[in-house]
Amino acid sequence: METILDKSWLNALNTNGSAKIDNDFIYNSLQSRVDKQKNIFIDNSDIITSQEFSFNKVSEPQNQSFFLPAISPPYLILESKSYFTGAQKWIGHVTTINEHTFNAQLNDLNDPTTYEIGEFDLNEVPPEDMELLSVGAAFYWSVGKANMNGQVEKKSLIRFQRMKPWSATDYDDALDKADTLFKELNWD
Amino acid sequence: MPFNLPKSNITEITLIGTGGGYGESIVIHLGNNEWVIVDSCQNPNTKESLPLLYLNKIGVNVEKDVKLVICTHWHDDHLLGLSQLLQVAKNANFCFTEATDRKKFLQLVGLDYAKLSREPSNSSTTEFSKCLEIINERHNRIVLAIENKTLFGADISPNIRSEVIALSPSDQTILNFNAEISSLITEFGESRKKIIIRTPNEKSIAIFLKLGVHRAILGSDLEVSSDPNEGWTNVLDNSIVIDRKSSLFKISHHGSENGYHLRIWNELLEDNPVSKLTPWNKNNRLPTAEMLQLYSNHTDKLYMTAPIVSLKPKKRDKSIEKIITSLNCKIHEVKYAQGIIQCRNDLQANTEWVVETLEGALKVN
Amino acid sequence: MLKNYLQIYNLSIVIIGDFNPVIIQPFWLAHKKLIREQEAQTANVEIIHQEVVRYSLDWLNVEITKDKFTLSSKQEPFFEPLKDLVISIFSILSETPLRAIGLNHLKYFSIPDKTRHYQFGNVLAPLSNFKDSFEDPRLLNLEIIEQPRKDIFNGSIRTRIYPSDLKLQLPFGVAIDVNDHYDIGSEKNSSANEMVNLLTNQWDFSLKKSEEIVENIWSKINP
Repeated sequence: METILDKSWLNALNTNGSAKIDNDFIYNSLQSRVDKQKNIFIDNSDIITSQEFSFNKVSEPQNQSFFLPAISPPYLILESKSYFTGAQKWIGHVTTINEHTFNAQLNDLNDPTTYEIGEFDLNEVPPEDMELLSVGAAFYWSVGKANMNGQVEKKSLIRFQRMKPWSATDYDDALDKADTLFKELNWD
Repeated sequence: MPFNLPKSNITEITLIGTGGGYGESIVIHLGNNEWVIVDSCQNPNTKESLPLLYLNKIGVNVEKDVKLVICTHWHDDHLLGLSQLLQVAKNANFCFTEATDRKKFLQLVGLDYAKLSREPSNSSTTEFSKCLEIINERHNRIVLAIENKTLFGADISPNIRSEVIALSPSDQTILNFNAEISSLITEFGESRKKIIIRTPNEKSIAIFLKLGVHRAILGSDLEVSSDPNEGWTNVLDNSIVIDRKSSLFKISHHGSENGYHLRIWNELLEDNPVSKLTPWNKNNRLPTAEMLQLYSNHTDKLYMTAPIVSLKPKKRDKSIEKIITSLNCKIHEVKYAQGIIQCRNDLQANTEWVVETLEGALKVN
Repeated sequence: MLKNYLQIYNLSIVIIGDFNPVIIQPFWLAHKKLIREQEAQTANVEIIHQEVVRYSLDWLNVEITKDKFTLSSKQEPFFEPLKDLVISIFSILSETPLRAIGLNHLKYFSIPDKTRHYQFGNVLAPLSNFKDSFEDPRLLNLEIIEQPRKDIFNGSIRTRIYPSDLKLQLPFGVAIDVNDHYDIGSEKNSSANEMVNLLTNQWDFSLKKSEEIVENIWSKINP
């Protein structure tokens, strides 16, 4: 079973690294953590998995107990998996679809001023997004350098926008609003 | 001193345009501090409505003196910033193309708006919907444009009258639009995309201005249609409001071939009229060099709001530029450039238009 | 600008309300076409339990308990899809009672030198104030809050600054965590529609605000 480790618990590990854990402890720890979340600030989750982080001890803790708060130095050396920062991002709207390419109007999300026109190969569209490709469809395009499991890679990512499907209720609501507006407007 | 308020007996037709696909707008002084605004465009950097900026600069009391705001057609480059303008112009009525079934038209707008409202959008639908909301809150009037209808009139003095008259859309166009609205509503599926109105230019409102003794035609994006009951051919054959030739012409559809008809120049315009246009610089460029030459043959008073700029990539951080190049991504920026062509004349005197080219605007010939 | 030293940006949307975690599983999302089928098939599922659901896609981490819903990503290209996903989920589950939403911008910076790293502590909380009692005082954690908000919403904006707990490119790492918190509804639970509208309208503001806070802090450290 995958271990769920609490950050504060991690800090109190002894010099030999891993400590014994049992299911009751996990459940109680989880429950108490769930209870603690009922506060007025919504914070990032403290829960991390053992799979995501590797850890090295940085110094001898002063106290061997698992239940005291962190006695670690300022730096707890952990490594994070894949991340992608500093990308140039656009939202595009498809304007024309050709045999092998499509054109789009691109609005720069980093600098939303002037827009751009882009031409893309159809084979740049992920296969599962092809059904979303149509004139007027919106997609996100990002370009930059990603760190994927420690490897730095140049990336160009296209992802078509996916939103909740249009429902009969949405349709009816919009029509109702239009009907009300029709009655209220001061027509010539 | 161009950035000043015209006197009450001086009429003004000022074209504010942008070099890319950022739109155009026309502000009209009918006389006696009565103003009408046609369309809007926006500075993409500051998001300011350019006609509003201009009116404030010359000292117009926008809240009181703007009487009508016209949306000539449903194209992004004619609508951006319109709601911002209408927000300030509290006295203004709102004019757009007639639809036979008004309720259905509003349903179409409402459906599209509901779809788009979950994403940040500068689309024409969002802008148009906001305008409707503003007008509704104020209970100001909706004026619907159809060929030969007077949209606004003002008696400037006992002897002087100014009028704004629609030359289009035609009855036929409106009937066709009604059918189109129905099919667009039924096609409204699950996909998450903007509604695309087919051929919005045919529905656009071309305008005939009677300004005291002067006449002017604002061509909007009206094109020459294959159907003689639509577009410019219908205006030339069936219009009953044009009482004499115009001395000023806002060239239609960015000077394109589709917006050109020799009969317009021969039958509707005086010799050598003041002619102005806004270029289009998106995926194709208008006007072409050939069309510019053709217009130059008709008049030596040809003006453009901004030069046609070349299509290059946007300037970015070097590292990002390198990645874009290395990935062989083909993109170019639609550059923004703004120009103002201000034309003023005495309402009562048969004098020449006084033309000022401001900011990026230029005289072509 | 400090953003030139940004190495990792973790964005999370955290919502407080009453949830049924087992509904929002990868295949449910794929069935609603909110994620790709393949993403659902290759999801790394850690736990599916009536109290808690936790799984991750290539670009997304999901953790949902009975009263807390968290979606997060460390990949900037997927921040907008993350927002779309939250909006879509609660447009479908529109009757879910919600009480608050927080957009958390956790940014890790690799500061180029020891001096400026030290200055984060020294400028923001002058360490000379502690030199009477400590030989070499260092700042471990600084938290600033504005509550109530100065806009039309109930809630707060909170910023936490601390030495990085992640190993970064350079040894002098700083984390700045901006929590943009909104209370929704009043004493009663509000429908999800209010949250969806708020997220749609405040998204740009939240991103820009976190950037503004970071750059303002840096302007004091590195004038």
